[in-house]
Order: sequence, then C-alpha cells, then structure tokens
Amino acid sequence: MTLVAFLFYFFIGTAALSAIVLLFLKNIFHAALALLTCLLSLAALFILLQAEFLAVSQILLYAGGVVILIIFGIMLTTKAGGQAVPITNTGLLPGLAVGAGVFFLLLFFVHKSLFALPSSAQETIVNNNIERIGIEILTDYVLPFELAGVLLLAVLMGAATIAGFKHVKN
Amino acid sequence: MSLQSIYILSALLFSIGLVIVLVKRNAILVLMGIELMLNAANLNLIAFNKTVPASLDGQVFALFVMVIAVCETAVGLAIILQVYRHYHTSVPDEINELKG
Repeated sequence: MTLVAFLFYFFIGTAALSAIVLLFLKNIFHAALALLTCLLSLAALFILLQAEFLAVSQILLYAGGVVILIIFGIMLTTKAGGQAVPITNTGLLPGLAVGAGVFFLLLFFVHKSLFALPSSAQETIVNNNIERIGIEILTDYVLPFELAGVLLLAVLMGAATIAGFKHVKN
Repeated sequence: MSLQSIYILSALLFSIGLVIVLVKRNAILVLMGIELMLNAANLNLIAFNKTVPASLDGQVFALFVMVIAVCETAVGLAIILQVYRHYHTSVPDEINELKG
C-alpha cells in the first residue's frame, strides 16, 4: 500500500468517525470540534482528489469561517454561568431508522451502479488546476460568479440587520 | 484509490446529516447537520469531476455550493441569535408563539 493510498483511506476513516461521533455527542461545543475534524479531513480528501483550490477554500471558508461562526453562536446562546446546555434528542429511533434507510438505499444505488458510476479515477494530464479554475470562473461561469458577489453583499447586510442591536422605541 | 469508497463515505455523511437534522433539539446543531449534508454533496461532485479530467465543471459547481452554504450559515445564525434574544432558548420546539 503506497503512502497516498494509506492517507486516502486514513482521511476517509477520520471523516466517517468524526461524523458518527458528532451524532452521539452531548456537549454542543464538542460537537462543533467534531464537525471541524470532519471538515478538515474532507479538505485533505479534496487535495488527494486533485482539487487543491477547493481544499484551500474548504479550510478558509469552513474551518476559518463557518466553525468560528458556529462557536460564536454557541457562546452567545448559552446561558450565563458557563453551564453548557446538554443536547437532547426527539424520536431517536425513527430518525436513526430513516437515516439507515437512506444510507442503505444510497449504498444500493452505488453498488448496482444504476447511474453507471465510474469507479476508477482518470489521471489528470494537466495539473495546473488552479489556473484553469480561474479561467473557467471568469469565462464560462462569469454570470454565477457575479451573482455570488451580489448574494454575498445581500447576506452581509441582511445578517448584520437581523442580528444587530435594535433600540427599543417607546 | 478507488472512487467507490468516496461514494460510500458521501452516502454515510449525508445520512448522518439527515439524522442530525431530524433528531436533535438544538437549532445550532441542526445547522451543523445541514453543513454536513452539503459537504457530502460537494465530495460527490469532486469525485465525479475526477473521472472527467478534461473539464472542471464539478469543481466550479462545488465552489458555488460552498459560497451558498456559508451565506446560509451566516443568516441562519443571525436568526437563531435574534430568536434567542426573544425567547431565551435555542430549542425550536419551545418556540411556540407567533407574536413576540
């Protein structure tokens, strides 16, 4: 087994394990850390799948943005005194049954290859993916790119307006 | 390195995200479950892109999915924060009145 193959299966294992741990944790802060582990393992898998730009974006956006936001959200919504609110479940057994059903259905499709899933990866000849992504974004995908900019501006203003402190008018 | 294991991991992550969204009684954890499901979809897109080396459509699509996911988290957390100020709880089941 080569080093690359070992790392591939190692990061698959850490991603799966941290997701399963996330399902059963009782402390919400620990859950955020498990989510961080899962997202970082996915970033490593992206590198092994030759998507370097997406791996860097994953680390910047998710590990640096979303998880920090979530941790701030946790800190702002727990009651003062440092007592962490334990996570409770409703309908654990039906939920697990639905999840297992979806999982085995997807496994069935993957194994039957109903969608003719290609199973072997092609080796890329051109490996300057970052340059190619930049060219693609500014030529074929320029409309979604600009729309994403407008969306980001709207989200920035909307989130600041919703979460901002409002003066109570009497 | 077969892509089959990537598909299985993606299915597993998606189902776990679904269970978290269905079962947990905490709004922030529900957001985490949605993130997990979006990441599973992203992983699939990138794995499919690996089989077509001539094009980068899958990676660009995954990039846009990532941008939308971050926007959704920011607005979702802002709403959760505001709800928490009103009701002093972040458990969705306990928010059962419409007039604040």
